[in-house]
Amino acid sequence: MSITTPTPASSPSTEAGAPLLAVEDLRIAYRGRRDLTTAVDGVSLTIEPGRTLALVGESGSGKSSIARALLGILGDRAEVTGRVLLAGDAPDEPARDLLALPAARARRIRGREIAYVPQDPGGSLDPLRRVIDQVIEPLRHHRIGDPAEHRARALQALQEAGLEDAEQLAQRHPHELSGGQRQRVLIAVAIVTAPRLIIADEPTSALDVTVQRRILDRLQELTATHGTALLLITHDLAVAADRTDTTIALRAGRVVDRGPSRRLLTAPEHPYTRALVEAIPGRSRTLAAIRPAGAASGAPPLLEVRGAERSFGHRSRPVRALRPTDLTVRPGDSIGVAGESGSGKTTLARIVLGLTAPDAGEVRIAGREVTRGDRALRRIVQPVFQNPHSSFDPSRSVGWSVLEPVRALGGVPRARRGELRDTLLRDVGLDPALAGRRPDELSGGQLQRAAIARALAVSPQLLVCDEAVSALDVTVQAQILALLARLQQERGLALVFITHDLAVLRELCRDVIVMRRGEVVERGVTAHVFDDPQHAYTRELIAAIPGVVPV
Amino acid sequence: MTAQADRVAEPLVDGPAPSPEPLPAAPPGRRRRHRGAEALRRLVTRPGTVLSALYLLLLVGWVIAPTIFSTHDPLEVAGGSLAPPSSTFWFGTDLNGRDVYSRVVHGARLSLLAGIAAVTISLLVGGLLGMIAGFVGGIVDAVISRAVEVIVSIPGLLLSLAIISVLGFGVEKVAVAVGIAGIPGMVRIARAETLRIVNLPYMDAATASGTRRLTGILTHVVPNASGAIGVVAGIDLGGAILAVASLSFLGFGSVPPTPEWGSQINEGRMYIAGAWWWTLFPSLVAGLTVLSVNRLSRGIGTKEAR
Repeated sequence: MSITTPTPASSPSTEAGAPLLAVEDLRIAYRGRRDLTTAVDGVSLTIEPGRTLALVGESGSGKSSIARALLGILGDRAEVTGRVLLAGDAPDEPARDLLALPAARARRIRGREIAYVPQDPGGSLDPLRRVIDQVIEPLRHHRIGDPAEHRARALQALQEAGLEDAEQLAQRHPHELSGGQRQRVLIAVAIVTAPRLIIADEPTSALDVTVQRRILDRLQELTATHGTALLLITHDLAVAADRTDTTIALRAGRVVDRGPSRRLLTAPEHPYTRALVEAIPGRSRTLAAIRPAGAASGAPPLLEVRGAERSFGHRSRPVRALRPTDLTVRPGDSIGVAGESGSGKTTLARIVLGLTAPDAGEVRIAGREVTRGDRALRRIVQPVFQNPHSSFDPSRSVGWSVLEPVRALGGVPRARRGELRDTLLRDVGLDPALAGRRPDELSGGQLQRAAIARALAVSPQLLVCDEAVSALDVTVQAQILALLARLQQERGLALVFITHDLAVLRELCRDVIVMRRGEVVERGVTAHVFDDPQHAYTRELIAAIPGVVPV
Repeated sequence: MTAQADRVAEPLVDGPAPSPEPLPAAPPGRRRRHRGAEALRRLVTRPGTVLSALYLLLLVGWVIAPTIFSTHDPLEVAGGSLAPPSSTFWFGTDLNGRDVYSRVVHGARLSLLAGIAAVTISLLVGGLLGMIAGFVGGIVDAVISRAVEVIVSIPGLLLSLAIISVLGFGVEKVAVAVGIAGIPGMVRIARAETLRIVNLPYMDAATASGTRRLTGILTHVVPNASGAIGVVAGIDLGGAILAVASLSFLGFGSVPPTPEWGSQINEGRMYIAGAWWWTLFPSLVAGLTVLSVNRLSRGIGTKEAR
C-alpha cells in the first residue's frame, strides 16, 4: 500500500509501514458570535493498519474535535484546515484527502472505512428500533454486501462484540439492555462494516469498571484479529497505557507529548504528561501524606446503621436495592464504599443522608434513633453529590445555595451570613467573588468545591460523598480529593466516600466496604483489602483498575 | 462548555500537590454583562420574532390609548353605509356607517384583556393544582390527573360553551369559561415540571440541607418551573384570544354596539359578498395576533431551552 502525497516530507511517520491514516497540520476553530475559538492547533498524527493510538488530554484539549473532524461531524460552526489522508482501498489507489473531497464522496468513504464508537451508550441508540435493525443500518445505508446476508453479518458482529446470546438480544429494544450491553451493540454497529479504522471516544467512561475492562479487552482483540486500526480517545492515561501502542498527549489543541504509551505512563518527561500521571488516583503520594494515620475507633459512634434494607418497584416483584446492611461511622473515620451500579451503594448513602427511608432497620445518630423528617440529622450529616451542575439550582446564585443549610437550619444571625459564606468559599479554595455567579457560569471543579462549601456550612461531623469526583476531569478530580483529605484532617470530619472507582479509595479511605447486588461482600482496612482481597469480586474490581503495573 | 471553562479556571498544576489555594480569576463575567445584548442579537436574527413583537407592541398601544390610533369614534356614524376602504376609512365602514378600523382599534382592549384574563385563570388554578399533584403524589395526584383527563376529552370550545350556558352571557363570563377550559393543559405542564424538578439532585441537596418541603417548593420548584409554564401560557394566550373571539362570534360575548373582534366578524359575515372588508379586516387583525403571540412565546421558549 503506497501513499502519494504532494508533501511526503511532512508526514511524521515513525513506524515502519505506510500509514492507514495521516492527519497533517489539522486546525479546527469554532466560530463564535464575533470571535473564533481555536480547538485544535496544528495537530499531525499517523496510524498504521492494525495499530492503536491514544489521544489523551483533559476536557477542552481538542481530542474530541479531532475525532469529529475525522468523522466529518464537526458541524457548520467549525472551520477546518489541514489534511486528513486515508490510504486508498486498493494497493495502487492513492490516498484520499477526506477534507478536500466533495462532502457526499467523503461521507461514502467514511461510512465504509471509518467506524465510530461513541461515549454515551444511552443516547446513541434509537430507543424505538430493535437492536438488530440498528446493527444492519450501516450495511444497508452504505450498500455493503449482499442484503440477504445483512442479518447474518449483524448477528456475527454482535457476537464478536461480546454479546453471547446475540440471537435473542438482537430482537430487543435498547432500553431492555444494560449499559454494558448497549455499549457492545455500539461496537457491533462499528465493526459490522468491517472498517479499517475504529474511532472510540471515551467508549467506557460511562460504564462500571469491570464492564469497562471487558469492553476494552474486546475492542483490543477485534483490532488485533482483523487488523483494524484503533484511535482511542480518553482522559485517562492509565487506560491509554494499558490499551494502546502509541499515545499523544494534547493540551489546548496542541500536541505536547507523544511516544510509546507505556513510557508515557511509567517515565513521563513532559510536565503536562507528568501532571496527568500524578492525577491518576493511587499514583500521587499527595493524599497519602495528608491522610490521618491512626484510627479514632475509641470514640462512640457518630452514626450507626443497623440492618437497613430497602426495596424498590412493585410489591409483587420488588428489586432489593439494599439487603440488611450495617455501617458504623466514628468521628474522624474515612470509610470508602465501593461497588458498581446496582450494588446498593447509593441507596445506602441516601439512607445515611435521610433522603430515603429504609424499609427495615434503623439509623442512629449519636446513639439516638433518627425518625423520618428529623432535621437534627442535617446538622451532623451533609452530602456532596456526583454531578455538581445538577446539584445547584440554576435559578439561584452560588452564594445563595452555599448558605441554604444555614438558612434552613438557622443558628447564624442574618448579618453574619455574608461573612460566613466568604469564609466557606475561601476554605474550599474559591474566590468569594464567585458567590454572585450562577451555577452555569462556574466550571465543574469550581462547583464541586462550592458543593463542599455548602456541606460545610453547618459544621457537620460527617460528609457523605456519593461519587463526588466521578463527573470531573482527572486533574480536577485529584484537586477535589486533596481538598477533601485536607478538610477531613483540619476539621476532624468523618467521611463516607462512595465510588465505583476503587483506585480513588485506596488513598483517601482507611476502611473500605465492597458492595455487590445490595450486599456487603467484603469490608476491612483498605490496605489489607488491596493487598489480600478475600472475595472474588473484590479481586475482579482491583484487577480492573487500569494502569496498575503487575508486580 | 463546562469542560472548557474547567480548563480556563483550573490550570493544571505542575507540582505534585494539587493546589488548595484560591483559584486564579474565574471565567470573566462577560456573559452576564452581554446577556441583554445577546438576547437582542438573537431577536434581530429572527425577523419573524421582531415583526411579531412590533405588532404586539402596536396592539398594546391600541389597548392603552385607542383614541390616539383610531381615526373616528367607534360608536358614531362617520360616513356612508358599507363604504369600501379608502384614505378616510382605512378598513371601510359597516352597515351603520361606522369606521371599521376605529372599531377594530377599540375592540382590541376587550378581546385582548379577555384573553389575558382567561389565561391568568388557567395559569393560577392549573399551575397550583398541577404543582400539588406533582409534589404530593399518591391519591391526590391520581384524583387530579384523572379529572384532568376527563376534562381534556371534551373539546375546549364545547366545554366553554357548556360553562357559559351556566354562567350566562357577557365578555367577562366568556373569559372565565375560556380560562376554565384551559386549566387541564396547565395542570399537566405544571405537574410534569414539578415531577421533573423534584427528582433533580438540587432538590436532594436542599432536603439534605434541612430545607422544609414547602420551602423547597417555593424556592426551587416555582422559579424553575415558571419558565416552561410561562411559555405554555404565552402560547395559550393566542388560543384564548381566538376562543374569546369565537364565542363572541357565536353571540355569547360583548353586547352591541360595544366593539369586539369576534362580534365584528360575526356582524360583517352576512355582508361578506358585497362588503368583504367588514369581516376581513377584523379577522386579519385577530389572526395576526394569534400568530404573533405564538411566534413570540416560541421564540422565548427556545431561548429558555438553551
